[in-house]
Amino acid sequence: MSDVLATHEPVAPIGRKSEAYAPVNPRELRDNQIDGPELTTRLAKTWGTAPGLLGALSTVDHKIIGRRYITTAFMFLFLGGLSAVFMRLQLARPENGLMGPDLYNQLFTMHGTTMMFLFGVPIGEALAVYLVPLMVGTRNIAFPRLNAFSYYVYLFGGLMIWIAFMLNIGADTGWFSYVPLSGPEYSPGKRVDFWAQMITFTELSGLAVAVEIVVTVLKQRAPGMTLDRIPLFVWAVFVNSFVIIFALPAVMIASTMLILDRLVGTHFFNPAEGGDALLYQHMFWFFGHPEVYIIFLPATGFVSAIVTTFARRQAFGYLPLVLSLIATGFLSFGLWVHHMFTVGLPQLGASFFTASSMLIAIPNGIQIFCWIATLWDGRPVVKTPLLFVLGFFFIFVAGGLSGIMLASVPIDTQVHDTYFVVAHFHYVLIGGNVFPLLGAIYYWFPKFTGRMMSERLGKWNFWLAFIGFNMAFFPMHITGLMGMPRRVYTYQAEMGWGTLNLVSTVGALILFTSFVLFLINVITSLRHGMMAGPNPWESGTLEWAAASPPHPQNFDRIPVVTNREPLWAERSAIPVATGLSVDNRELIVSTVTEARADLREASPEPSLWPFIAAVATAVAFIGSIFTPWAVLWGGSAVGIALIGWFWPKGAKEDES
Amino acid sequence: MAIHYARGIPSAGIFAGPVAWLLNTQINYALTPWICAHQVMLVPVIALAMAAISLFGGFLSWSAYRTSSVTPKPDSTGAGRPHRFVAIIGVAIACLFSLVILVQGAGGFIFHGCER
Repeated sequence: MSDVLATHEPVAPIGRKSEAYAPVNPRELRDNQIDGPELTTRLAKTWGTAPGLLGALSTVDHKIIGRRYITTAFMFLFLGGLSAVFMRLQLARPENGLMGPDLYNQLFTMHGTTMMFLFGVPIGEALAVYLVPLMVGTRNIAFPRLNAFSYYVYLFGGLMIWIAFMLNIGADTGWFSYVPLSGPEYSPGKRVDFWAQMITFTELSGLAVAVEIVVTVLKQRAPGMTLDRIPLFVWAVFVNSFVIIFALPAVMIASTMLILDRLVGTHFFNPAEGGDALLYQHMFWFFGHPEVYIIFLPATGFVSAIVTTFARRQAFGYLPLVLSLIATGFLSFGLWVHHMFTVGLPQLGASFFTASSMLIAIPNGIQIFCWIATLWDGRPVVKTPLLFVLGFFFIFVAGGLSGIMLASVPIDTQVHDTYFVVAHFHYVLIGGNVFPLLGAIYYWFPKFTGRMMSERLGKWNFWLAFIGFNMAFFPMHITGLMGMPRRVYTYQAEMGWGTLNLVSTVGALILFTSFVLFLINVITSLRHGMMAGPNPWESGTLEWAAASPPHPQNFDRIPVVTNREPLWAERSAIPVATGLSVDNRELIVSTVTEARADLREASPEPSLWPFIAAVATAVAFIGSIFTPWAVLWGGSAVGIALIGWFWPKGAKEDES
Repeated sequence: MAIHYARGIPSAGIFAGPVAWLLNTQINYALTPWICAHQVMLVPVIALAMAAISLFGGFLSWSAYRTSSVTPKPDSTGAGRPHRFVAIIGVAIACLFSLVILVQGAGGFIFHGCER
């Protein structure tokens, strides 16, 4: 055992000693004074969540919040999937009368909105909220109350738009809500307002989590976890968080300007009054293209973790993999105009974005080759998580190839707004996110619950998903090339699209069945799954050093990292740092690059204020759909909640 | 400044490459109407200048890589020298973004700026 306070060199300049070197209160019990079950029990009491409803609403435990995030995101995935199934049933044959154009418009809008804003962004962050503190070897996420607040805001935003849909006021102008269609002239009523406020809810939540992840990764890593020992999953969500921080404000501002145009009478996007409709598209896609990578980057982290574990060797090309993540993060901000190639921009201007769009294939290609090389040089064990990763390789690469085609202005102009584009982005998004995600759930389920998922059902799940997906989406390339436009609720038999659409519908039903199977697997495994133990896959990263499911404190003593795969390097016993308080919530704050232990820092206690603040925020946001004055009185309620939240109470540790 | 040449800056390439690319995209995009009006082949010139900035960042990263201690290697299991790790990523990012900038600049040889 090493002592936090004694084994690490001071990082502060001479004459300005770090607080970590302040004398320890001799009356305070420290984790080097007790051991074994007593230490575990006492720490669990200190870091635990109180029972009952109040305890549940006050919790700041990243694992509990993370679990809620994951469950809620999957709930929205199922809702989004159901809306897709209904659309496919409508399109199964020409001139089908299952639904009319109005419901179809609402369905494709709810499908896109749900998948992009209520599932795609939150699911990566949800897994990060649960896993990052465990993987970097700390006891809780940074700003845990903000984390709780962000979850409630996300939940309220998602429920709001789905309840609106059930009341027949669901948004109906597409997941991007282009003006002038979404403006006051062409979309009277409240439908678009609900969409625009849902954006504010979910983006607020997404930004909050991104800040927490950045701070946790930079400042709360276990001693010894230098920049080049950070797990690749953590690198992925770290880069992803920066992309979120720079991308999401653009769409928040765009949706706010839209709602101002609709409710207050401004003319930001009204060309007749000096506004600019194209401005909306620029702002939306400045967010919208990085959004694709916000969905994809966490999945690269899942793939790296799964490939390394099941290849039984360290990741081939750790450095180029990190390089690819950083390069992709930057490049994702310079591609947005390829969504606007048909709006009449100068060809010279468009060519800059063609160049960037094609060359982003370089970092993504590097990643794929590194993963294949890892498997090639390893001893792969083909369990369900790896099966999903292999499926990801096939589907994502196919989607990437059609993406390169779409980066070319002439091809894009021909197939713009056709089913070819629908096929492309489903190959990229389902291949690039959902397949690795399902693999990730199979992989980390034992850590979340302490039980294994069924391998037999898992393999059925994979093959149904793989076959169903390709059957649903491959024919869309052809229907697109045959000229079938997106967002049409029906078509005539003479167009000749009927057979391919029927095949797509059958594929979609098979794909949905695979998800039902997944759900059955989760529910039955929760009750009857084989007990997992702390490290059932014999993985190398720190989350597998914690119990399954982890105790509230994550680790009894903070691990000291000596290798990229600490559990493989230190097979007998992982070295630990001691000296933290047992009776107070305390964690190690470390230095940014070298992760030297720097400070002992108090971590916030559970509080009901984040929940109250989220309720006040929801009331203000929803109220402002109906009257602008809600911003005033709703803002006051949010202000009061925030005052309660931040009222100086002093850390329990300082007071003791 | 001289010390930066000698010792380098590990992260220089990570910042210089993307910033140069951002400037290249934005300046050339904004200049397109002017290029159309005056028919001056400015895009490749600006791209060359920005590629040079990106490569200079890569050079500073390379200098940092050369002057930092040799062991352990950044891609090895015994890694733990983040400066060398950051420096080599800086070199690679600078090279990648220089390539992107030059490909963007190639558009200036093909289009006159007036095509819609």
